[in-house]
Amino acid sequence: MWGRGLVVGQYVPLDSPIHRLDPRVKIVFVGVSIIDLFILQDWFSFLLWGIALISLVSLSHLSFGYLLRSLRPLLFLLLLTMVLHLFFTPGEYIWEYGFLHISREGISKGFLIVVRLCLLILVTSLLTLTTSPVELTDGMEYLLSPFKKWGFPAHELAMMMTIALRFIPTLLEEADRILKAQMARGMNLDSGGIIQRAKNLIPLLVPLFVNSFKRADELAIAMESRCYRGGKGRTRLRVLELTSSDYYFLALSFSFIVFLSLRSFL
Amino acid sequence: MFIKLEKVSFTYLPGTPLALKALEGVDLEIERGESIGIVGRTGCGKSTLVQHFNALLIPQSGKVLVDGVDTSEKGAPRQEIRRKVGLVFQYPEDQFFEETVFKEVAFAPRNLGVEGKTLEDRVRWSLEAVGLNFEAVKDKSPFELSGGQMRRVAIASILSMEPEALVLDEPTAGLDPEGKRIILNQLVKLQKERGLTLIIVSHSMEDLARVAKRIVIMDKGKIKFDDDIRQVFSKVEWIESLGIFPPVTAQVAWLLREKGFDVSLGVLTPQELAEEIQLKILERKKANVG
Ligand SMILES: Nc1ncnc2c1ncn2[C@@H]1O[C@H](COP(=O)(O)OP(=O)(O)OP(=O)(O)O)[C@@H](O)[C@H]1O
Ligand SMILES: [Mg+2]
Repeated sequence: MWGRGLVVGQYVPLDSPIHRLDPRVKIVFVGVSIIDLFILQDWFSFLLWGIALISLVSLSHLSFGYLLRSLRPLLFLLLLTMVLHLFFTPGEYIWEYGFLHISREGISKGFLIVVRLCLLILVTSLLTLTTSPVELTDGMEYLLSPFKKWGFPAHELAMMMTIALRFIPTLLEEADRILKAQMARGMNLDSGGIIQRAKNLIPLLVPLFVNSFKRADELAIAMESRCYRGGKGRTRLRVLELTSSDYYFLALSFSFIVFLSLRSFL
Repeated sequence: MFIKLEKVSFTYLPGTPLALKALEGVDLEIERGESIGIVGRTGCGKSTLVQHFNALLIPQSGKVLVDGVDTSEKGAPRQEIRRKVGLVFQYPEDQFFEETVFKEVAFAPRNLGVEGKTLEDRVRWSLEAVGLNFEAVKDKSPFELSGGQMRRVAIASILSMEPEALVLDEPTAGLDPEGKRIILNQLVKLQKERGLTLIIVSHSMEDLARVAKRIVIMDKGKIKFDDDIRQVFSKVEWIESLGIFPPVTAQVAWLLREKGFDVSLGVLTPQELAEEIQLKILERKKANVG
């Protein structure tokens, strides 16, 4: 089943303080957090980050287990990072076998990097899980609009992202449906050699492309018949406005991040 | 028993905040050669249900037996089950990918290892079974056909597996009345002449009245009614509360009855209704003369 389910970090429409935060605030927070997480080097900071993350998750009404799922697709990458650091960090060896050796430094560095990556992924997932794609692109557009002066296509970019994000679930659903339809016609995806397997994809990909082009055509017509002509002079349905909880969140999170960064510099 | 469902439940995206119970404790038994209509509001689980008939979906609890074989068993012959129970999806023309109609219809039997003369015979038979002229359409691109013809090619592309049951998910959706009539007539013919088991999901009681003997009504993932189609129309008010509207003939019969005419409520087709009314008129005349 790879229909509506598998989309990593897919928006979960709930009503929580985190969901209600202004998307711009969340985007800026995540951006700064990412930088911060790269700066930090010590376990104590990561521990504090972990606690902060858990409190954010409980505020968001999502279950922590569900959030952890977003790590699953990257599990391999995480393991690889771990292994590389374990075996290839020079230092005081505590285990050796032939040319393989594990150093004390390797262990601590490996764990540190993996924890850092996990925190990065989780913070980003928290953003996409609690912010609808529309809000997300709206926020981006606002944040990027100062650069319009220098010809940066903020609106066009946001519109493209909105459309792409809007159609990812549709496309996955369609892929699921077509896969099932061809399976009902006796198609066997995993039979034969490599070439046969590649050929097996044709009955999936051709209908998917045909339908996507059809849909793109329809969307273009629908947009034109509603007089869409780009971003200039376009008013908004949802005007983003910062509320007091946004300010509280900003103040709190920035003092947290500044505190941690200062600690690691001093 | 050909297809048998025992306490089948199915949830989409289980264990996530978006989990959605699509089927809940469904029991259903289907004999060979039956013609069954499945109706219900949109989203009540009809498509989910029919995908269990050919092992595209495996129940999370409960059992589905097709010809005695449990579909959830590890080594279950899924391909053979899918051949036996041919499933035509909603808007099946979305699945086209070949250059010619011939290749499109030959796809399924080829997957099952049918080749050469037998393959050509199968394709010819399937196209003719849905009322298309083999020679005229076989070299056309499936994408250049009319909507009704596309739908018929899609049905042929399942019939070419020579299934024992044909399951169609809204086979007439989006077709003009003529296209609808042609498809329904061909389905009835197949069912009568070849003893094909016919299972049709539809929103139109009018259509089902033409082809189905038995009606299954679903609501929120459960089966609410499962009986002879003539029984449905004696419960007009109740089924309307499930979002299903009986054919005009049944509604007219219902209204006539309210006005004091003793017409039978089990009328399905306009012919039957006309005959019923004629009968009543004659009875009245006789009574007046006498
Ligand atoms: N792949 C999927 N992932 C998640 N939810 C799904 C999926 N397919 C269907 N659903 C949901 O399951 C429920 C039952 O869907 P189903 O398609 O079986 O209904 P249906 O009776 O066929 O409706 P319709 O008349 O609109 O075709 C619906 O609420 C639907 O949104
Ligand atoms: Mg359906």
